[in-house]
Amino acid sequence: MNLSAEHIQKLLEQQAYVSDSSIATSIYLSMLLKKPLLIEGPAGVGKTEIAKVIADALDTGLIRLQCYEGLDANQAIYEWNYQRQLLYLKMTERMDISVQEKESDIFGEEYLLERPLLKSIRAKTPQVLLIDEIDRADEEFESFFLELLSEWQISIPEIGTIKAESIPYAIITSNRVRELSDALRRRCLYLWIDFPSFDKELEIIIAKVPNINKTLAEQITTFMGSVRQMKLEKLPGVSETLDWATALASMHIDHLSKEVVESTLGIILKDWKDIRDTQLSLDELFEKVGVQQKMK
Amino acid sequence: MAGTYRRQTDMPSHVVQFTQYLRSQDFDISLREEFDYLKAFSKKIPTSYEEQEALCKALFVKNRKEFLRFDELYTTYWNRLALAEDSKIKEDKKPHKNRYENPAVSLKALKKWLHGGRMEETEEIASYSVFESLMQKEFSLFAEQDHKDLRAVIRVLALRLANKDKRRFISSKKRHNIDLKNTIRESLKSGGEIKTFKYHRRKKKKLNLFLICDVSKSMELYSKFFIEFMYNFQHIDHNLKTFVFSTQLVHISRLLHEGDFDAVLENLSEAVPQWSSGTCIGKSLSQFITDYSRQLNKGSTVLILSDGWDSDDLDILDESMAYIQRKCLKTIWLNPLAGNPEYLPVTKGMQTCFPYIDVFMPLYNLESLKKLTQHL
Repeated sequence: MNLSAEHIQKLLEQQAYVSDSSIATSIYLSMLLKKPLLIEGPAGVGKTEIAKVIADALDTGLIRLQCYEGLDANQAIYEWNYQRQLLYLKMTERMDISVQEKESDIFGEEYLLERPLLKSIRAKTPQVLLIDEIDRADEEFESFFLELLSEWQISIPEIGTIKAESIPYAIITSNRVRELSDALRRRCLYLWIDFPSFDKELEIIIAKVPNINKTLAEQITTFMGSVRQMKLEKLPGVSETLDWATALASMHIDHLSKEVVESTLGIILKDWKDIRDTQLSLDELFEKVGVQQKMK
Repeated sequence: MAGTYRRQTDMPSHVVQFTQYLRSQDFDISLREEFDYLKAFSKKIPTSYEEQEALCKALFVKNRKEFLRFDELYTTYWNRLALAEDSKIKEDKKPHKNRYENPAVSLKALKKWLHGGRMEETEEIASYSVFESLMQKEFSLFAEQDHKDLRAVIRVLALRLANKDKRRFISSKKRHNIDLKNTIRESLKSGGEIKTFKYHRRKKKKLNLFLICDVSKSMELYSKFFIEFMYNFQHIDHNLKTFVFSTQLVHISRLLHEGDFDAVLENLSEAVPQWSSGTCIGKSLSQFITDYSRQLNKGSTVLILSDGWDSDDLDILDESMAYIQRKCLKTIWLNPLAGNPEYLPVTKGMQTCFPYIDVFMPLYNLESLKKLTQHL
């Protein structure tokens, strides 16, 4: 495939993902160098979305591994189909088959259950592999990835080493709940996605909520920018902005007012203290964003 | 830099030189990244200046801090290189040294004090307050034997904390407790007949501890004690995150792992240019929140070692302390001055922080260190 950074950016735009040259270049380099792309940034800025959009843009499959505490190799790489193995052993109990033969039968391909990582490297064409929120998995689990991410192969003791038939486009996301190991970082290209600038966020709203009033979109963007300056438990991301914009647009609201903001704060803030603090600072916020006259 | 690095004739050599420059700026770059660059170069990437910068950024940056610093360093590198070639007179000039280029000076003062000598600087600090000066005696009594005890106590303390059990179970090879659920599940493979037992144990509780130490001028007399405390603690608990601050915050966990204690002190003097300068607790804690708030949760304990002298905006300090208290399980403030029975938290910084502190206690000798165990 003949790709360039500009081409990637256009592909992302076609999928209504507003990116910039830094994002497009990182994706392009990751594809070209066949190295995973580690994306960090606050929650809700579109890290996971990138993987989905790339899969759609390249018209290929998306294989997702959602990480969580306690995730182990059986759930991420492969597992033997124990029930089927047991059934086979019962069926062949009275047959004249040697133990070695039985063993080689039950540890064959037929009894292997592919989990996301194995599935991604055994696909005939390159798939998009999304390893989401890797920081939620245990530190020990990171070491499972190292062989895969550098050599694109997986070692299964009973079978041997399985090399990738096609190297997936790997995207790893992290919300920085804990620091990732240097070994993992070294195997990846790095991209930090921060909260978007005013212009970029406005562009995102207009792209994703086409029926929104432009004044409302501008007010929402300014308001969100100011809310993110506050010291809150959980800062609202772009996904919250879009939820809010969609909700207000479907309610046929064309500008922000104190009543509207107060009654819909729950869409952008997910912590009662944040909501209380924001409610207390609403006047100050409106003044700060300079839309007081329009709002009241 | 202009005198050290030369203008190269091809881009790969420049990039290799650029990686040396980045390493001198604390970027962790291995040969693998340089090799990846050459691989990309052989594939005719980059094709433009922007792509060249983006390629270097994607390859050489490994975390957010580096990501935010990269653009400036990249521009500085090329600008200074251009200057070095165009103006030789400037190169011959004695290079301008700012005070941060020789950070070892104030550390030398600290070291001299540690070896028995008292510096002029120290005398100046002592005049800050009469009752504060009384506290200095405690530390001046520290003999080599005390240091050994200190290490032993910290070791015991850290080991005890590192071995606390959680409610959750994990499989174990040690045959102490039978895991009934997994034993039955395993037996299904042999038609319900139990052939092997599975065992489990309680998962070890990982201590989610953030240690933030003030190394400003007013804390100069206690810094060595605290650094030694952090050094020993860090070597036992690798998950511990350690920071020092004066006017800005520096993450030192990795540095504490490099070599023996003297080597660590040397490394710290280079990595912490503001050692023994002014104090901006609020700004430093705000920086801590910006960079590490994602790692704070209701299981985290934040330990701040400081005397509370702050020359910064108290509103920022108030906001930051309130945030840390909301976000964490516990905020512990260790004040070396509080060992004095006549101590009162009269400094404005301390008064601002007080409402947000869960545990306030002195840390001036081994006994106080032992008491700290109860609160962790």
